[in-house]
Amino acid sequence: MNALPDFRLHRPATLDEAVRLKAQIEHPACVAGGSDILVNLRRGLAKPGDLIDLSGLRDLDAIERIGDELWIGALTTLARLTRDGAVAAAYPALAEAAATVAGPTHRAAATLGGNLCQDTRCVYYNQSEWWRDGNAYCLKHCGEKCHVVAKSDRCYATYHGDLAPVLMALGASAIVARAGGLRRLPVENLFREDGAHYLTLAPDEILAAIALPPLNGRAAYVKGRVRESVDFPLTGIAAALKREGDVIAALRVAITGMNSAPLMVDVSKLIGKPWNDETATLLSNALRSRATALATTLAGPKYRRRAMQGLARRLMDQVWAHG
Amino acid sequence: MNTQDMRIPRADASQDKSAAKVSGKARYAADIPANGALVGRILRAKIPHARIVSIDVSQALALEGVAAVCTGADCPAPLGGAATEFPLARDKARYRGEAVAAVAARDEATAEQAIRLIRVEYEKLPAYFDAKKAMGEGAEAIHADKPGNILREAHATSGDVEAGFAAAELTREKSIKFGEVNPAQLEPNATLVEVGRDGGLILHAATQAPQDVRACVAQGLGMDEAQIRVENAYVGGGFGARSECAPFEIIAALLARKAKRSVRLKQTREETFLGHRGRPETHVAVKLGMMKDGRFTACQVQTTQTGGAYASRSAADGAAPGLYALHARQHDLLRACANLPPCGGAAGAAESIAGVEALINEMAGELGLDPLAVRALNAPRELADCLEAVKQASGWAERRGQTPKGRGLGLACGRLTEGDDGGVAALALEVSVDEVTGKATAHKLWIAAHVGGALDPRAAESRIRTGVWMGLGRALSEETRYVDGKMLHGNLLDYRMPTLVESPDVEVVVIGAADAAPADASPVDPRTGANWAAGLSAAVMPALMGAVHEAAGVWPHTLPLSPDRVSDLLDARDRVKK
Amino acid sequence: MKSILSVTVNGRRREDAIPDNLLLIDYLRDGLGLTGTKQGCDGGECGACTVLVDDEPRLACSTLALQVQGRRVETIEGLAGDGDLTPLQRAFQDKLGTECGFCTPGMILAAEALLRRNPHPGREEIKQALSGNLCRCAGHAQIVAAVETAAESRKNETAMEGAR
Repeated sequence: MNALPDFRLHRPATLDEAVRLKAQIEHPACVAGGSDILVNLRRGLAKPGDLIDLSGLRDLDAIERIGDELWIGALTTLARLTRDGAVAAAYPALAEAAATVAGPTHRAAATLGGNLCQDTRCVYYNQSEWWRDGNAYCLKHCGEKCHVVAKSDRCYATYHGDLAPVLMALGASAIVARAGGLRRLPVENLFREDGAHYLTLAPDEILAAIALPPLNGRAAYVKGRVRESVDFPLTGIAAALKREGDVIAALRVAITGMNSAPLMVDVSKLIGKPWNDETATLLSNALRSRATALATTLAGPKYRRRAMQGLARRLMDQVWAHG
Repeated sequence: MNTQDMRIPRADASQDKSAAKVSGKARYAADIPANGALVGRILRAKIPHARIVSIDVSQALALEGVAAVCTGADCPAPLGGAATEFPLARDKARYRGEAVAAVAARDEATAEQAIRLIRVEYEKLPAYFDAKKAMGEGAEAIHADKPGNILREAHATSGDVEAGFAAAELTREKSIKFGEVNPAQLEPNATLVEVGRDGGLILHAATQAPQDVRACVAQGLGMDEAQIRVENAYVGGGFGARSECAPFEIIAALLARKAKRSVRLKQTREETFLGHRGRPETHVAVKLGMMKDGRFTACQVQTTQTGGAYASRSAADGAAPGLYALHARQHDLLRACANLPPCGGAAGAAESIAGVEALINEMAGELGLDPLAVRALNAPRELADCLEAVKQASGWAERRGQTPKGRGLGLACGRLTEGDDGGVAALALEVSVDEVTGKATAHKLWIAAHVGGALDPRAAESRIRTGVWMGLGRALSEETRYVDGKMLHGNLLDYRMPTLVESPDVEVVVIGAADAAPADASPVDPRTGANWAAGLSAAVMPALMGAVHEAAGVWPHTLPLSPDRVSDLLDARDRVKK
Repeated sequence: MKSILSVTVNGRRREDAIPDNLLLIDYLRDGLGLTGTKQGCDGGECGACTVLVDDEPRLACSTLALQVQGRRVETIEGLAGDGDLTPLQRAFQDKLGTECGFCTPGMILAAEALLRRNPHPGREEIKQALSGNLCRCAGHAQIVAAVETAAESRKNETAMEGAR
């Protein structure tokens, strides 16, 4: 039942070998913890001829300080992120966000890289082959039409990762391995607002690590969901604030669970002002114009927008008070 | 193999079985070893309502490794003698997901491939997904013998209802919608059918009704019951889904007989959801008459269910017994048939009680009366005992109205089962409401139940906890969702049964349990076979509604009270304030 | 495609030639007959298939068998070795023996993983650690009580060993 498609499994031992394989093979897929891709493969959402298992890459599960940055290997499990002393000391928001992902057994297997690169989701996509076949498939997979936005030319499946917005608010960089070596880009540039093609990684690239700059101020993440375990975020907001006296000196805000990619929110209008009703309205407007929740989840878009607004305000109250 | 006689469970097997469950030795239907068994798969309709013009199985049959293909033509006998439901659809498919054909093949991949090679020609018919449209004028009849698409109707009146309302000092009405809920038993449906040398069949079935499965399989296959044996040593929950023979048991038997070999038919979680037999979406319109001191004078309940394309055969009679000593009562039930998966047989007694309980809370509030005192005033002795026990256990008198901001305490009563036998219960529930997320969280629940007779108190407590647990799911987050008959909730992420984190402390007081032998098996009343989930959900839901009112000042009208629903209520409240 | 899997299952080393796309749950259930590992959903939703891999809980339904290459897998059948039930199993038997039992193996293994990492968990930690294992029958009270009882008896056993 729900058998996996036939594929050849590759188990590279080093990052070089993994990158080489990724460049050689046509349309390879990668697996690490398995909690996202194996579930999707069981539903027939892809049929890769080759699967590269990254879980043997011992060089990618280290957490180490390099200069003034903390580098976290892409294979670090979420369970470890919730318990690691260095992470908890410097970036408690990241540890807290990791603790909100899925359930504890998922977190024991799921990795940082896998969480970031997880597939986008939609009620018309995360269904069985039989279900999707009976619905003429969809724009994300095998079909001609998006059932969420009629006549659209792109897929509107939603990105529901919890860690991306936190890393984006923290100003983290993604370290990407490819044949020529490493390249570095802001985490937000890993993503593209297109549900079917939501990652910007080239076919021969592998996300190797995340580099976190020192946090000057306070960061936090808040997640809206129905059940306090297992559930994906219906909305999620991360904020990193540097407060100087009674003004917002620096602020980065990112959202998830709303669009086809995790997005930075333009909060430039808040800088240099105190956090109060006026700036709360500015934030609210900025969020509203950035987020476009659609009917991709069972809880309706109206609810997700309302919860996002309210939770963002609560989150800012909290970081401001402690900032 | 001996296919004679049902195995009779030993009374002292309870300890062995619990040891087997915790050591992994307990074999459920999908765990029974079966070397060389064929793999069964079911082809399901992809359209919600259609006439089946033709089914061409020739390509599937020609595929190497396929041992048998069955269609409705193989089984002319209706399921358990029901008028119109067949194990495999014959003339029509009436919901998206109905079994249309089935194959048995050497392995899963071959079975899957064979399913795709079956060609079914359909003639689409208009489909209906809610009671109103299904019963609307000119609607296509889903069943030829059910014009107007009314599956069931029941009317019961006692006393002089009109006079009761005339005498009332306060009369109020309220409409409540209860979402459709699924049993969502944790063990997916599975059956292994072995074929004996004598041609007899042994079914290892995930069922709580082995006798019924045996009778229905015999009937479906035109065999003698003596040739069929049903084993069901361990069953991973039922909650209404397994209280009678389901179509897939007969399908598996049809395949095995045709292939003359053992067939294992395992179903996905999605298919298990499609099996449904849970509670349909139900609208309840309640009217209650009350004196200023809280005495009830008359009660009228109109219940409308959006039933599935079929319903369980073991249907309740539809007269919802009231909880209180009230003579003037009227209850009308209408169950429409819609192009949705088959629902259970329950006639909405639980929802009716929940509706009345919710209105009692609102009217007590309006009259400035204590909802517990109002109930005690009208309650027969056993229920009054429960109310008193809950009052003591919860510290009701001290807590009521004293909960901190954003918190509330709610109360309601219910029956353990939906009939008028089997005991009553009262419960109090403390809840908080988060104004930002709209989330209602249950913190503590106190329940006192009069179980009415011989029942091991420990087993009784366990069943009460199960009932409360399922009631909380139904009250807070569980509901099924469809678009145009397409099931959107067919997995355990979107069908949100609560996790342990959502599980509040529950304090149970068992009243009236006399000594009885320690009971075993799934969480049903061993005396009646009924589980207490439906009955207790009838109390949990209005108690939650009352608690949410105290916490947030809104009276809910739609269940479950998921965060989006509560948010809508809060927004409506704030619009009025402005 | 087939590959050789070398793995220790319930204390025994094994080598098996298995298909690349074989899931750990199917390897355990169909290959080794260890049917105590249950399948309750279509992948990653219910926790019934929880096993231990090098002491950590793992969903066998969303793990490839070849991903446990060279590692130590424990299923419910191996928890007590050849002996009696462990205190944790006895506690579940005592508190939850009358329930349907389908979530029980996964629940016990998730609890075992917790107790190995944290021998004295608090009530909230227990609820959190088991929150990915859905149970339809019980609610938390009996489950938490079972884990607390087991933690207590482990403590006593350790104390007795220390006294010897």
